[in-house]
Amino acid sequence: MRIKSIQIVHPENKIDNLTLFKDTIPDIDKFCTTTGIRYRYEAPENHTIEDYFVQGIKALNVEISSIDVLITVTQTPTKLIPSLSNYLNQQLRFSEDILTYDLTSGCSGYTEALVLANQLFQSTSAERIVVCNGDFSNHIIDKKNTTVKPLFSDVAAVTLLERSENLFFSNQKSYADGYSAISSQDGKMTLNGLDVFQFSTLYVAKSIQELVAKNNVEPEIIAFYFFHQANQIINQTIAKQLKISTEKVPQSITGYGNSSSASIPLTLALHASQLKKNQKILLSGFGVGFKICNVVTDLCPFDANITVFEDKSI
Amino acid sequence: MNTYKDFVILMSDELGIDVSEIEAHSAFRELRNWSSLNALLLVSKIHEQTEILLSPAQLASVTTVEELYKLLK
Repeated sequence: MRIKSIQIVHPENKIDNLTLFKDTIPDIDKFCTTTGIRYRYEAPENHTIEDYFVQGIKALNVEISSIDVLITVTQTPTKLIPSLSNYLNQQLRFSEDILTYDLTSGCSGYTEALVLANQLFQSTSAERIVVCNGDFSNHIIDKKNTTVKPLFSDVAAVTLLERSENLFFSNQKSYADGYSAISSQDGKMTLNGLDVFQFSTLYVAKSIQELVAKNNVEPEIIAFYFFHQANQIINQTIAKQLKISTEKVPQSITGYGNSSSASIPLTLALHASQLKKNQKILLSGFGVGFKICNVVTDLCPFDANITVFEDKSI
Repeated sequence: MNTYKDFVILMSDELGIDVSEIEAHSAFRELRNWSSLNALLLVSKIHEQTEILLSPAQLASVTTVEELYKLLK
């Protein structure tokens, strides 16, 4: 399985945390410097993650009828019945033979979807699988919650995967004690930064070391480590634990904040031009659950575009 | 970070306040500039310097600066 194309769709509305919170968060300068989160994108209330996925799939530039499997991953679908993939089908008219899955997952959702896609390439005759990732987190955050409000972007990522003989191995962890670290109550998200730091620091580096050791990969041959983008403090801590230089850890957090399950494909898209054929990369999604899912794969050149959502309702 | 004095200097750096504002019996959550961000940065710095990772439950179990320091001993 290889990544053929990544299409990112984000709202037009770019927010500078320094400006937005200058009167409401006393240490906003320090917040931006230490967490790395400066700019973010917030989708207007009348936008939906579904329509961003539609734009992203159209941008893949493939015959819609040639898509064999569709996997969507979001925690913020506009409605539950019928599930999100059916809306995409209504809008895009896939082949009637398409196999669809709708997963509910956040920070670890990209790598979890890749693991599922890899299994499906092995167990079915699928040639093309499309994975849609992303949340409109700002739609479920209380505007007065200054702990959570500066963190998230509303971003959709659409990845086209094609059958290919590539390196692919993965592992995953699930920690019941992290159940409340990131949660939603009465439809609004709550997040305990200390809990998230604790779980990430305790388990992420260890799980990555376990994966590479089990598959006899020397950590040095991994060219880049694409981590979920929650917080620069966490990613710097994990990099130190793995004894890797921060140059090997590309980021998207300064320009986009935490974009939930779109964070890894977004960071891949932003750095696509720096990646070379056959380089080995590690992808690590970790967070809400508390869950971790790591993937090691090798690269072929892929298309990547980052576009603003075109609001046709205006 | 070997001594209580080192710990107080670390706290004053992270909170951006003078060492004289931090006393052993001070409730650390009442210190000027204490915030969820600074709590995270302090826990991160302690972890970096001592490899001790304070859990949220441990933090919640103590009140004063001295009690917080004793968690590291």
